[in-house]
Amino acid sequence: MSLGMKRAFLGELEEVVLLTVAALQEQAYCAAITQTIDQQMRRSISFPTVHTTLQRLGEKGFVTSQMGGATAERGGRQKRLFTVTTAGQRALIECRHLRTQLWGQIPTPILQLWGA
Amino acid sequence: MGRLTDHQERPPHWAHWLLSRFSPPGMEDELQGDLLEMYTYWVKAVGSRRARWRYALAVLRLIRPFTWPSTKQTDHDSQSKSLRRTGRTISTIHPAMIRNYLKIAWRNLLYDKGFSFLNIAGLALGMITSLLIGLWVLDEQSYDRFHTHASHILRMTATVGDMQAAVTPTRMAPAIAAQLPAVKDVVRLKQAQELVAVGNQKFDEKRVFYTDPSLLTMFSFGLEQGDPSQALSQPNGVVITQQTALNYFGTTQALGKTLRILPQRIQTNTWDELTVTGVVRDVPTNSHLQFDLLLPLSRLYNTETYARNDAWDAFSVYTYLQLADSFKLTPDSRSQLTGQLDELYKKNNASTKAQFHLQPLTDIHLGTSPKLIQDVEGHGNRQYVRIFLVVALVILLIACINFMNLTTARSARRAKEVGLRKVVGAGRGQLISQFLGESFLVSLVASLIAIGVGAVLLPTFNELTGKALSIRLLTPTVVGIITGTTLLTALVAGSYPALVLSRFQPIQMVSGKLTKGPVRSFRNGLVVVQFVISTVLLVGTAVVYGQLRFIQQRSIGFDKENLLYVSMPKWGDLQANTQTLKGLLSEYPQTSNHTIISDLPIDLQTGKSNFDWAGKDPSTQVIIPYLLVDANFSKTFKMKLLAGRNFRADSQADQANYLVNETALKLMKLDVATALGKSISYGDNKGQIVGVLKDFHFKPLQSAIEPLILRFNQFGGYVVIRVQPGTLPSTINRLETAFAKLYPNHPFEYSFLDDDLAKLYRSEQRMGSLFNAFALLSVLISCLGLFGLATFTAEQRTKEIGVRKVLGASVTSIVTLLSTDFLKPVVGGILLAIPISWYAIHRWLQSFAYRVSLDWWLFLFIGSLTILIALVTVSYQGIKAALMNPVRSLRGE
Repeated sequence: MSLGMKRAFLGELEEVVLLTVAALQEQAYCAAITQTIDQQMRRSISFPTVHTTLQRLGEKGFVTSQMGGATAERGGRQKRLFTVTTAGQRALIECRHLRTQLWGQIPTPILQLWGA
Repeated sequence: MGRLTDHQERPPHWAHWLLSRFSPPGMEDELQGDLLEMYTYWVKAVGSRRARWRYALAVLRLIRPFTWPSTKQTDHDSQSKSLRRTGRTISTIHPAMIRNYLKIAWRNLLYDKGFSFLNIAGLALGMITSLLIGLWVLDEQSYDRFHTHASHILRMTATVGDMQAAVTPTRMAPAIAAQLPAVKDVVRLKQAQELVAVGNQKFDEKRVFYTDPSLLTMFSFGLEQGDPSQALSQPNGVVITQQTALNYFGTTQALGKTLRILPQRIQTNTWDELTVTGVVRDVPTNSHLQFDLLLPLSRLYNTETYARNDAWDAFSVYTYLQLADSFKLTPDSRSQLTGQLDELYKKNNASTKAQFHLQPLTDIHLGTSPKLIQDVEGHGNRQYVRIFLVVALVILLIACINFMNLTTARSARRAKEVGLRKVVGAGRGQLISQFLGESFLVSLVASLIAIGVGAVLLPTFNELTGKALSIRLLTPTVVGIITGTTLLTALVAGSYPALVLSRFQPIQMVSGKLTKGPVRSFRNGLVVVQFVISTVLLVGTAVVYGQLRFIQQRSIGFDKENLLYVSMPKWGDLQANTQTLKGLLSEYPQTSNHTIISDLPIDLQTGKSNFDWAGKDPSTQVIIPYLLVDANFSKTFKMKLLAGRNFRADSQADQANYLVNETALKLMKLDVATALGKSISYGDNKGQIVGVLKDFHFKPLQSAIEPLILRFNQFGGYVVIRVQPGTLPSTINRLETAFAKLYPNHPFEYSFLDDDLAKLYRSEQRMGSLFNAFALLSVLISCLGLFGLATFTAEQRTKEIGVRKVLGASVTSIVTLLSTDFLKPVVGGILLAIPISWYAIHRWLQSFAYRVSLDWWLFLFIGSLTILIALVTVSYQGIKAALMNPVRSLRGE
């Protein structure tokens, strides 16, 4: 798929959505993901944006999905539940690694100055 | 958060329906469920109103064609579902195909930029022309339609003898109002010119009407201040337009302000004080009634002039009838009504034979033909409106033809694409919609350019046509016209490639064996049409110009240059003033060569039927134009006296005598040798012919010279002065001094006779310049198309030319070979155009009594010119192709 020569790039929004999928585990479906991002990140995000992002992540092979349980709240309709694939896990870990690396390169006095 | 009602708990129904109907395949369930959950969440977070809004927005973004299914479905279940779904819905408007079409269209435009430029520029030029003309036609047809009761208002006109007049007797209106129940209201208008004073400022107002109070309720001129039913009911009231109010008082809030007036119709020497009782909106340009001031007609009651005009046989006012709301206006009911009018008139005045006619208000501007006597100025001409409409459509047609030709020419290049599309399963419908869509895109681009350029060109166009048009883009009509033109052009232009290309067998197309026969002959046919139109327009332009020059150079029987004139105010004792003025003017050499005449021989509108002479056929009622002149008339105008003498200034007897023109002699069956001394009577006045003037024109050259009787003038009119070369400033100075002595209160304004004569042909001149522009445009557009075709053919035949050159063909022979192919349809077009243009031009010339002859060499000249232009266009590409090194064109094989 997206491996080999060309490494799949993980955009900032994709990273956020992917992390939320990982965080929600069994409850990761589009509406729940949107609401989580909306509440926890205090960031206004539209449902269709999340929807397309999830599709893109699926195309890149970072998530898979299957149809899951219906609830009365949603008019008895099925959910599409997402799980992070191995490729997705690797991408997330690499992302985090890269960031830690960059954080580590900031001199300690400066970090102290920031109060971080 | 308030209590949720049942209605608020549910998302918008329409959005829900859209989602259930147009979800991306395989995602119906999850999306509906997810969005329901989201909706509940939004209602809690931001309230139901914004939740509904967000729900709708989300649906719009999720449904097809705004999203498309991902190509990689991981889920087995949904994959099969999606396949079933796409299998059912695959069509021309599938989003992926639309994207592909757009991409292909864009690439095709960029592939050959020069070609695309020709295509779009040609179309845009055609559209600009039709847009501008469309606006002009709309404006011409919008005249007087802004009145609320426009459909129920009629103007009364009259036929007396063989004279048709816009004016009717003053006394008709009250009689109609009292006796005809079908008529709801009657309004009279009397044209006037008045001198107005506000403070120390004086204004010579030329656009004044005396009128009845109900004018403001019958017509919708829009009274901004004042009471429409009362504003004109007091004799000392006046209604002015907002612009006039600004001129007078510096504000439009003029109600109750006063102004003074020195009425020229009421012969007093004192200023009257009037109060502004109404301020009306400025009269729209598309009204045939144009005025700055309205005065109550009741001001004229009890005056001497009024008494003279208040007779049943004095035709002096415009009369408008408003029909009862229940009255159904049909040709039958209209003629019934005119019958009643005739009868009413006959009952009151049996001595004058008059018939009345009723003209619908909205028909006055374009439908007043032939010209009526004493009509208001500025009527349009329906014939010209029609001609221009046809020309505009024809130019648009030329532009469409270009587009079709260029597209079909390029179709060979697209043939492989079409073949491949067919092989992979494209249906005919898909191909048709692809090509139509492409042509729609191009015409959309062209129409946007046309609107932009049109807006820039509008001021110039206004100057040319003498209109004040503006692109009021927001009016539905204009938007409709533009959209309609765009759609129609796209449809017409795209239909050929769409229908023909999609029909071919894919095997022929992919292998490149496209039969060219029918396509080429079709294209040639279109070129023929283009050149027929261009040639007709060119011939038209040439003849219109020729005719105008002919008119301007034709001797009109007197020397029109250097004639200066001033209108004498109709005020005070006319007879005494005329004598005084003559005395004052004779004192100085600059002004001594002058004459005082009742009317100018430009567009003489007078006519009387009661001239009698020995041997007159008693059964006919001939209207003879007449003119009052003094002793200097023929000397000042430099006219030729064929027999007899001029009037003598000091002769008492000459006040009863006559001068006549040659045509009048023919009417009276006399000749120059025998005419002198013959008697003519006019009412009680009996006199003799003392002189015969050589025929001169006193009406526009559309009409032939009519009989003319000249009588002795004692009552002012126009002072005409023959200015000696080089003395113009001092002449004007002297004249002004003399005038100021006699009329201290009146502003002094002078004009030149030749300027006024030139104005007579302004509408013809406008038509000439418009035609010129049209003809140039059509030739330009046609040549753009021809150039495109030539470019294409030269390119296609590169190899053939290469082989020919290798075998020893000369450049000349190759250019000839390439050019003759194109010249055939051009020559054919010209040959077809000759009879058509001859017929059209012949008919136009019929409206002139004196006209240029249509010579064969004109057609020959225009024909050769067109061929030359076409040849230059075509041979450029031919020469380029012929000069190419054959090595380059043949190397590829």
